[in-house]
Amino acid sequence: MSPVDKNVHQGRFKMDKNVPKETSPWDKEESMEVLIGIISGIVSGTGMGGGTILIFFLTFFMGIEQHMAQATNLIFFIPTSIVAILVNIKNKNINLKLAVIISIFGILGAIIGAEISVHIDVSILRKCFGVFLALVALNEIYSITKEYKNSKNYK
Amino acid sequence: MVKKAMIGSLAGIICGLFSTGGGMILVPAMVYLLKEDESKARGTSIFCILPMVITSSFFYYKGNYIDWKISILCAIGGAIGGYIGAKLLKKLPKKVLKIAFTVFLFYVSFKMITR
Repeated sequence: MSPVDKNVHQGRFKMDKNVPKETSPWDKEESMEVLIGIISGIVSGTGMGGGTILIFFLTFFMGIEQHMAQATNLIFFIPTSIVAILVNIKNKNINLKLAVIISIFGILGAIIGAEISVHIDVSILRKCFGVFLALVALNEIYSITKEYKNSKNYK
Repeated sequence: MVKKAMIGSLAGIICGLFSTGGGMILVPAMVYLLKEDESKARGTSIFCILPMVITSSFFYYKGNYIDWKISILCAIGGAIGGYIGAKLLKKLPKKVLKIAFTVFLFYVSFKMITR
């Protein structure tokens, strides 16, 4: 990859174009952010990792730093998930006892994870994220093949 | 109990580290290890992730990583998209979606590691 390509990927040139800032209160960048939110929301709604898509779009197309993109994803998650939780409670789709135990340990884990993340170098963080996504993808392949086998057996 | 504690802690660490992916750990873990059925596992996992996300947000906030303008704009889009997605869910071919998502994950993973 040439250095020029690299800059385009990080969105630097895109940002430079906006330098004489447009005077309209609703500029292009803002519409892009809402659009990215909509796309990620659709994916979240279908029950697959909307967060991954949000972080990917923000870092690759908007040139936003990884930590900031992750922080955006956290805030993004809160209102959407509250709605989803209410729907699930109504449908009695939550194992409350299990949820409480996992949440308690989850909060402890989140303190450790966030503390590491905030102090870690961006390039290392991105590489770790990449490895994690590859593992998730491998698990997806496993579950897809398993489902395929099951559907064959029950025919 | 030990199993549940480990699943919770691991999901929490991932959630804190990457801000996403808690569900990708919790759902399969609940299904395979705790024998919960899939739709209940999904519902329970969202419930569990919210406190983890709020905890993580606090640390990112302290680290000055939250850009409120971008976050709120994305969240507005997310609310609209989430509604559309939930409506679409019943109509979309699940298998095609899963395969497309897996390909996408490999692509992002490659990009993240190589850049």
